[in-house]
Amino acid sequence: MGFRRHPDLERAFQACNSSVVRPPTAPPRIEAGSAARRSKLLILQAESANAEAPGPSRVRVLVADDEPPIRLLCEVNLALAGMDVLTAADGQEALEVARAEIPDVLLLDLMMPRLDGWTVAEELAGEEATRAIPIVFLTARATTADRRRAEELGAFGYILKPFDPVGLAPLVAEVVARCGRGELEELRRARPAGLWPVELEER
Amino acid sequence: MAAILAPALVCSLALFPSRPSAQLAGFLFLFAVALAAYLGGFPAGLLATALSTVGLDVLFTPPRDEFVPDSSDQVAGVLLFFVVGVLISQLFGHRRTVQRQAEAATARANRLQAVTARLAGALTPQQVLDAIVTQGVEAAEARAGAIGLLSADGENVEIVAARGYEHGTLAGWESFPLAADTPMGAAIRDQEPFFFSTTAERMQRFPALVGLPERSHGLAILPLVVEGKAIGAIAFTFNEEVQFDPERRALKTTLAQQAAQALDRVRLYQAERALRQRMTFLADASELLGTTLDYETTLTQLTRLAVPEMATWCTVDMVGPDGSIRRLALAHEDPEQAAWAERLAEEYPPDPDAPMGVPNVIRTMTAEFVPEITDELLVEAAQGDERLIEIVHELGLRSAITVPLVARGRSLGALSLIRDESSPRYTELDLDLASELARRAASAVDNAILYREAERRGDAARALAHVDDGVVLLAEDGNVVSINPAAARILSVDVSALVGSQALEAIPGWSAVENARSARAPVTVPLVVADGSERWVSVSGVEFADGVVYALRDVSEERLLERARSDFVATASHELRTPLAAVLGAVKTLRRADVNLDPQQREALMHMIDTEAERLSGIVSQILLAGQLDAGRLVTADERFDPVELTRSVVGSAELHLPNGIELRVQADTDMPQVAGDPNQLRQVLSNLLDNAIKYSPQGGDVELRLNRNGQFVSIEVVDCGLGIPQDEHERIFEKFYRLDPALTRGVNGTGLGLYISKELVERMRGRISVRSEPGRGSTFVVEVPLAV
Repeated sequence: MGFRRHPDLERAFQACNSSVVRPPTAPPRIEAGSAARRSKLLILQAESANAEAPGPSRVRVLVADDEPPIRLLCEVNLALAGMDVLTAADGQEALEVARAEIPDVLLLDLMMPRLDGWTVAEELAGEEATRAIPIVFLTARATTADRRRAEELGAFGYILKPFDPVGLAPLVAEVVARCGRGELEELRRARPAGLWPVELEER
Repeated sequence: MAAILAPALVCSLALFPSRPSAQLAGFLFLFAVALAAYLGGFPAGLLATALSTVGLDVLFTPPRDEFVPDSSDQVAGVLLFFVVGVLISQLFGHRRTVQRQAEAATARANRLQAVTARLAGALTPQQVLDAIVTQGVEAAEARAGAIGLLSADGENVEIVAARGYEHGTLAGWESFPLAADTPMGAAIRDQEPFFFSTTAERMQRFPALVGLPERSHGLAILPLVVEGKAIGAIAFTFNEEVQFDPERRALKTTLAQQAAQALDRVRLYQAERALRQRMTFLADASELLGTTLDYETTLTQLTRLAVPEMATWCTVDMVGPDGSIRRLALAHEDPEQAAWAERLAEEYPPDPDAPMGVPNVIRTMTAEFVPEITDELLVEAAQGDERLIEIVHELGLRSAITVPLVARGRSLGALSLIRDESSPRYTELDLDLASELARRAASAVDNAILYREAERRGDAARALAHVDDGVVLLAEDGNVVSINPAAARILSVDVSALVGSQALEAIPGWSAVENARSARAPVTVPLVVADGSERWVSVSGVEFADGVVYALRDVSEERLLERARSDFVATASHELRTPLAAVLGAVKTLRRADVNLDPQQREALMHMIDTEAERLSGIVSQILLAGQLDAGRLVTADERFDPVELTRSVVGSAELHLPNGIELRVQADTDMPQVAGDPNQLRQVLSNLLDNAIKYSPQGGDVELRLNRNGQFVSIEVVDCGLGIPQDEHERIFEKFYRLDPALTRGVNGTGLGLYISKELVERMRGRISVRSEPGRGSTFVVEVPLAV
């Protein structure tokens, strides 16, 4: 079933497609001092912010989702956190961009035209160059079986829609930071609450 | 007396004046001698001869009145007379003896004949014994008599009849061991008679019997022998000491033989009569057992048949399905006693583990035969219950037989026959009869049970033939006992080939069924059945005495529906989650306090909320619509409208948000007739079909809507060149929740309700909807709407 979308929105979506969105304003304010130690997320956010500098040191995130609104939300919020955002509108495109750009994190929808998210993840894991890209699924599929499959594929997260796009950047930053410290396996095993859903539908 | 009187009479003739001559007197004397000898025997004749000789010599031989004869002639004459007299005496004396003997023999014969005659009329052992002893005592010229018979086991001698003894003489001698040193015992053992002329003689031979305070008397003990076998002995007691001459002995022996034969004949007669009675009873019982299949009634009647001929009491106890013992019937000569006994049975319910009696017989399937109920036995049976002992004592039970009712190796119950002290003890023959009766009764009961079972099974089978649930009955060894048509259909097997074969071998997929049975609740398992297809079957199995009964229900359809429903929930959840994520995400982003969004971003996010909320609303309405259709609550208008106008309007709306690479075209004749129906609902249908055509054309292409008049209908075709639909899915796509691509992997979203709703709506307008399609070559959906009249 299709639903009408406003043509302006449609154009805005299209403008976002397959492009890098720069943060429109100055880097976000960072809470400093003792408050920064209150939460791990804030620390990670601070690290991510510290890493913010011109050039390749900026975090590069690939958002692959066939739903333009979801892409837009991710782009806006990640860019606000000082990240470079790449987007793909289907699985095939996601695969191509990932191979070409080797993003720091891949936010991957599962149900997309042409290639589904599972296949994309498998393909990437099967290639030497792309194997190390941390994948966080971003999906509306809310069953335990899907989550288990994601675990088996070695995903770093399984974020269930609807999600809080504002909190997305710190999660991505955490993944990037820990991967940077070589804690890939620990992160995979730890499955922090923000990256993995607590309750899922049993089928 | 005659020896003196007869010669004296002749002598008196000398007193007459004219004395007869010596010759005449001599003749008269010889006649007197003969008379005396005839009447008094040889000694009397000899005495008469002597007297006559003296009389003749003194009174009639000259010189008269002198003893000394006158001459040698006279001496010779007297001597001659004497010799002749002796000879006559001997002659007549012998004659008399012979006659006497003949008379005695006749008398004995008469007496024996009388005994025989009485014996012939005797029908019971008691009558025989009475006859022998009463008549026999007279015949034997004895004072008293008794008959002792060997007991059935040959161990004891039992006095069965006695006559003429003073009261108390035989006390303590009713029964005594054969082996004991008694005259009767010895006579039976050795088949030799004993004749004791005096008590002393007897005491000498049998010292054990010394001291009986009786006058010395004669005693004769004779064995009763039949066909070389001693069956007992007869005793004759005399008043005084007796000499047993051979004649006497022979008489006693003859009497004993007659008695033996008579006893044997009566025994045979009794046996034959008893046998006939038993056969009659058995025949009556058999007839009774064969009359009806209502075995409860039959057995009750049977117990009545057994009383009083066969038993004082007769009971039948049956084993219930749970192993409990239930008294089915009780008969007693006296109805009051019967009622009392029933109360007693209620008060003392049978203990299934009792070591003896009915429970034991039922348990061990072995008969119990108690020919003589002794006190010790009663005490043991009562197991220390004083009141019970007292009660049983009062009943005066004498003899009992309990036989099991066994059919096909199964213990069905027990039949008990009990006699009280007024009836004879049971014998082995009675046991045989009871066993035979029990066998027939058990067979009848078993037949009745089998018949009922068969009837019940017949009912069950008829019922099972018509239920949709599969029922399979397996024996303990896994053999198929029965399988109903539904089960055969579910398992895709042939009923006739299955019964009697091993389920695991004969039914493909059965192992899955058996594995599922262990669970308490029905378990749904996938079965690959005989035709190779997979079915989901709900299995429950219940064990019972003879095996396991399985209930199978084909839940493939339910499962498909359930899966579709479950898919729908997942789909709906997914469909709702995506727009919800957009709305929620946009709101959260707009409300960020830490950053300032530029106006363009704000506007984009606001529009996102608008459209995605609308999308949410659309999905929700579709679900509601489906629900309304299901419940039949949707009202369909019946209006006239122009189908071409409506189609163009739908296309116009769709064009507003058309993806790249898709073009829409409408092709219609100029003067299309109006149609009848609900224009809003038809708009929804066309909108659905158009959306589908666009969705399933991911590579782009033309989507054409063609309107044609087709008889009483206007057909609206929605033609795309997209993915197409495989032939075998053409019908199912119109089912609720069905999605062409259930894995949801091709990025085509939907609730799976669109076509279902379209079909329902079109049909409510008395229209039709169908599809023509091939994979890879696009699809054509055809909606036919009736013309307005």
